[in-house]
Amino acid sequence: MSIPSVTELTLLKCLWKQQPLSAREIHQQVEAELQWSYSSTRKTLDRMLEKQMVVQQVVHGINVYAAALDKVETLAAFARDFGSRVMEMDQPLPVNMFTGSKLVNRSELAELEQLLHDWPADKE
Amino acid sequence: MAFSSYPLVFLQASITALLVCTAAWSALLLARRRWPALAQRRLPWLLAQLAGAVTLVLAMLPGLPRYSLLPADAPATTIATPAGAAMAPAIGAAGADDLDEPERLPLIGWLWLACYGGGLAWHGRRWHRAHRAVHGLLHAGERFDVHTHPAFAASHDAMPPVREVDAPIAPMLAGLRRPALLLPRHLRAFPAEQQQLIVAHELAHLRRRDHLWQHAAVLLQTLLWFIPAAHGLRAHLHWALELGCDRAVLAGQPAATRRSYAAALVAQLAVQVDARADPPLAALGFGCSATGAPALADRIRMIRDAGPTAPAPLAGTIALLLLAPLCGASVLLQPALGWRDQAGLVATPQAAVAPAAAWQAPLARVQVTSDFGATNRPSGKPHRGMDLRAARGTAVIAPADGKVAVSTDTYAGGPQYGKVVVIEHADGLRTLYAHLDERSVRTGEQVRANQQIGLSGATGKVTGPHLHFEVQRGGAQVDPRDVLGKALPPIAGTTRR
Repeated sequence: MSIPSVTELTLLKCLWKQQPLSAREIHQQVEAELQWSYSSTRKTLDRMLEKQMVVQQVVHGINVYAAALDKVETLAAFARDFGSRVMEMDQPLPVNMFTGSKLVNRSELAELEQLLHDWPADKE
Repeated sequence: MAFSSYPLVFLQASITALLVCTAAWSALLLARRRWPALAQRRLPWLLAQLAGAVTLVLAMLPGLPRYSLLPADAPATTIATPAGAAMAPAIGAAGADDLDEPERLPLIGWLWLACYGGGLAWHGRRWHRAHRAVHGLLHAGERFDVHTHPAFAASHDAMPPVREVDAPIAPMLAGLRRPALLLPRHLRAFPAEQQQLIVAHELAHLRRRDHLWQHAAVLLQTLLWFIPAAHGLRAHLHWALELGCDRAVLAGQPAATRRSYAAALVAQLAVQVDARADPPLAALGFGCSATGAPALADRIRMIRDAGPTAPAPLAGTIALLLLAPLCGASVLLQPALGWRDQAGLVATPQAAVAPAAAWQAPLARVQVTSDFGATNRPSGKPHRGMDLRAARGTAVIAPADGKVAVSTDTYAGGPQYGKVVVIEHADGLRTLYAHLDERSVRTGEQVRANQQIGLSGATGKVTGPHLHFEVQRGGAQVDPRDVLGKALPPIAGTTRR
């Protein structure tokens, strides 16, 4: 499954709420968030159609779109992809992360777990 | 001549900032060895970064050299007199110079400026990418009802926007203006107490406004990207924010809660280890900084032992004691190099105005050996000044009233001009006298017309003794004939009595 970009995800989220929708209807809903023109929405929809992220039908003479991807699966894959990329980044992230930005490997983790295991009994 | 010497001033400022930041970094590491609890304080680390940035700006301020304790001639370099000069006849000497040959130092200045710009753009782009990644992650998250989430059962604080995301990330507070709390879905599998402690930790960040500190530190790190210590300071600040929140959450908590907190930390790390996509990556431990695991072990020990913290006044005192003198020293010990004078000082209007028409020639006997704009020289470039025949030891006099702007042995960043005096006159005019044997005025001194300012010689890059004379107006070269007028003989090169 191809992982959508942030803008594609915005359009998909809109369709998951209500579908099918015409390109104009989709644009009206995402306009405020994406702050771009109708032609950009059309272009993104075309691209998503090629990538089989959405399907197109004709209803009463106009093209309408529906999501072809499953919501739960797509969100999970998107988040996983970003999550792994964020964690692998060696640049400073604009976040305060609970574990800090340092990653450990398995042997280091084992040492930390040992530390936890050896927690002094009198402190329990 | 390189009158656009800002790149050199910037280079000097960069080196100063590098030294100050590195000194602050080493001093803080030493202080932390003495007071380990300093690692939990965020102020010293940010101030040390700030000292680097302030130094970078301070060192570029115009007029700074006058506060320097070092004499203006401190970096004087040995002036090598070419062999030809020694053999030149002592009387009626007519040496020549070719100062337009590419000078290396200004080139280095420009190279550094380009390098800095490139590095800044590269770091800015990385920062932008990280922002987008986090923005995307927030985008994939979904809002949920915090009241049904076990992690929020105990918290009554005002809540930031909370999103939950199905990704193996650490719980985090993201964003600058409206920070949002981003929780991984796997958190729900943790015991309720651990969930609540983790949320309390993130809310402590928000209460302490750590996101502002974090962003300030990254901004400083980006500006000071060429200083390794600035990156280290940022990482330490980041860690101090986490340790500070650990402290805030665990203050007065029983040992069992502390263990639970440490267990939550290790469990979270375990989830992230499992989620590492590429096994070889995990095996090699890429992305894990050299201090990663030991720092985490220290953190767990701090959680366990609840040792005394460094009191805020102590941390503040250490920070100020370290940093104020560093910033001061960067100003006071700044070597007053020759090129600064041209870059920084703006011509101030002089009280005594000498009309250009009444200017006198800088020598009693004037014979022009190379005119302004002449190209019959080794470099083939037009002459930026005028060469006057002068034996070594001939008195050089000020053509008009003015103030000595420069009196140095290292003009334009090198020895090629030899001993140089620059006088600032009225109407934004500056005159320069190069290759002097002796300078008899100091920077800042007022001089009267006809006053001796030095002796002509053959210092610097010359083939023999002569006086190199330049006139500038508003930074642009001017033909000395335009201001000296009748004081000079006609172009034929005759002698004036």
